[in-house]
Amino acid sequence: MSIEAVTETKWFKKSLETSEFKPNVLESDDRLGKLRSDTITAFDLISLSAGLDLSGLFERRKRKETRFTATVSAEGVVEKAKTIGEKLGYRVEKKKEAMALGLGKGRTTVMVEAVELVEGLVVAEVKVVEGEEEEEESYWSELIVEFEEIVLSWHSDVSVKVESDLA
Amino acid sequence: MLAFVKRFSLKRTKHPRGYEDPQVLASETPFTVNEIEALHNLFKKLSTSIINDGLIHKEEFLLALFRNSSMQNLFADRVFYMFDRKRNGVIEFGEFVRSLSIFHPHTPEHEKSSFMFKLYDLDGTGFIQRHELKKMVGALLSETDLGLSEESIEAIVEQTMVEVDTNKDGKIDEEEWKELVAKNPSILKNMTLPYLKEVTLAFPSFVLDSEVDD
Repeated sequence: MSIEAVTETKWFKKSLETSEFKPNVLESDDRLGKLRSDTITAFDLISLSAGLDLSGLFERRKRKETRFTATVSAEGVVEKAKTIGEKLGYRVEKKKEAMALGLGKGRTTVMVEAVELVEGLVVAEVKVVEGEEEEEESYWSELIVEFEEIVLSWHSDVSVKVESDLA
Repeated sequence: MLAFVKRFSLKRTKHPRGYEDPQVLASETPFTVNEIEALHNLFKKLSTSIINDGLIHKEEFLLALFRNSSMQNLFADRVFYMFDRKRNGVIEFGEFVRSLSIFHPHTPEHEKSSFMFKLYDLDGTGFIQRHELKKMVGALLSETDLGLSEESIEAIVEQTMVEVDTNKDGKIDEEEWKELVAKNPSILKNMTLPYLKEVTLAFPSFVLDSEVDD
């Protein structure tokens, strides 16, 4: 995939709008668009679907979660999450899945996961997997703001999932 | 011909079709009888939310999952289809419990793997074909803000086929799927619901309803 083709993509154009991405950084970088060949497949992508997440059948309220495209590598996201966790007083738990980290504080547990879908495109997900409503509110806002510096663009579909109407 | 229950009764002796005895279900799944009763409380809630007949219709399933009974989602449709084992358009209590049991943390991985393979085999041919993979990637992208180009989608599908279709026959069979799962177990992560071990806390059975003590 040529650089020209990448720059025509909606994703790329959107990323220019939402950050101070310097276009000339790409001139020497023609890795963009080439798929990583180790274990990431279409099935990893598909598994992100909300339709496959049945936890909603059991939850009486939607737990906080968000997704963003990152400016750093998947390892970078996990490193950042670890730093943030330590700064805010969370217990940090490395997960056996490659790029995943658990952060625990009080009765709240937050999972941070990152995946590199195609080379140069890293998507990260931060979600509360356990917690009580009152604690969750305050912990969440304090936590999320720390991620800003590695966010290329927040995915709006996740936070407005409940209201969205695809019809 | 089945006589349909006109009004769903909460009395233990009258049940909608597809009801199975909790003891039987407990003996055939990883759930205890108390957990089955808790699942029954959840089932009652879900199956009477729009159509009060004690059966989970597609709209009730979508309402439960998305808080939107008319949500368009390929994967949710497939999950519903898989749960509706009798293929009669509704999820009955027995089907509900048996299908959920596959998501239990104690259920062996090969059962989860098999379920997921069948779910992804959209036209039920026994293979996941390239066009099905492309359709699913497209469906996922329409759910999110990822906005990948047509070329990127093709690249992802192509790379997946190269990686997974080891006998190069143009489609993914269950053996190739199992090899992928062995290399990359996180693709099954949606197949385990830790909540299933706490279901008696979320949906308690009150003493009056409970048929047995654990």
